[in-house]
Amino acid sequence: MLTARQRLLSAVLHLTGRANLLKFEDRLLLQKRIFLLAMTGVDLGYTFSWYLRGPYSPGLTRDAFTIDEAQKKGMNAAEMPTPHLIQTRLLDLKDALGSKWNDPVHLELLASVLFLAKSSDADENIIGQRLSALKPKRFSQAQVHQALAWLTNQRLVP
Amino acid sequence: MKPPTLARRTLQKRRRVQTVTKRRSEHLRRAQFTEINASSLNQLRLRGEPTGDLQAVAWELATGGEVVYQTRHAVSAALTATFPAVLSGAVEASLTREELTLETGLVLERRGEMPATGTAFLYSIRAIAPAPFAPSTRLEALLRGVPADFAAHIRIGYLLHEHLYKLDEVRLQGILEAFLAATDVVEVKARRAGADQVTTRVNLRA
Repeated sequence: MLTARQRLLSAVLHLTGRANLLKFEDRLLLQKRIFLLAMTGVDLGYTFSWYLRGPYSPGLTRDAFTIDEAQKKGMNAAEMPTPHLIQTRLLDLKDALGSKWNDPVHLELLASVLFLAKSSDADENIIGQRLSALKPKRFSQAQVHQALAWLTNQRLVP
Repeated sequence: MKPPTLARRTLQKRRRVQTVTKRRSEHLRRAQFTEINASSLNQLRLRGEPTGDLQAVAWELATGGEVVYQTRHAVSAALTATFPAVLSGAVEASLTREELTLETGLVLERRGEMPATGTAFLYSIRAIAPAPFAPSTRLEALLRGVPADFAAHIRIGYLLHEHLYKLDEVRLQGILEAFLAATDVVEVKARRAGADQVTTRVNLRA
């Protein structure tokens, strides 16, 4: 039997588009989308820590696999209606990202910058330095600048 | 030229790893990062020094280069959740009965959450309109299976944390549905009793 959180996640995944959990990029997309959703104020109760590719929640991966298994056994967990607030936030996020919604590298950048920005009151330069130390040569300072501008525009950082 | 032996290849690989690790450490030093672990964080806390900034760069060296711990607190603190509404601190919310049941289930499931933040906790759900609370025949039937002191509180419109957390999931689900069906407005108290407890008046819509 799925938990309330797993049923809700299943309904959310129904809206985001089903992920192929056997593909790393799909799992990465799943992680970053739910993290960004959490940062818009939708707390599904997942704990995010810093991993090599930015914020990551082991509990989220576990739940996604559990849902996948349940669906293979014929359970339709997506029948539960998604609360209106979650639908709105999700669709707003999807619209704001446009084609980048399906770009794992871009979502990794946004989620990583947001995680570092939310973890402290550091300015753009410090966040850039941190990111380049945590992910050497992966993202440039210009990309960090663009990410911060987008996040500010979306009111995800002050 | 002869291919390198297994021992030589292993040695070469080890040197490459050492070089990468050394470069990474130098990079960190250049960026003026403080490499810290859970133990040094605790020492800072004990000294009463702020740890928020350091948490962001708490390095995973102690755990073999994979995970950074101690970061969640700072990120959670920065997050203003609007969902679940009952944890948001909103004075008033409008939810369907299904949405409130879902939110209750989500919060109750977080009982064993680690690290325990104390914020994801339901203290009580009180029926406030219509008043006085009148349990339905269905609710009365469900209450026959619960301890008498629990039933007495629920009959007068109080679902307290001991009911929410001690009743088994299936029984609680039935009771909660019947309880909410008999009321239009509830008051939900979240977090433990004390200064940071938040109360939300929830108008139940169809």
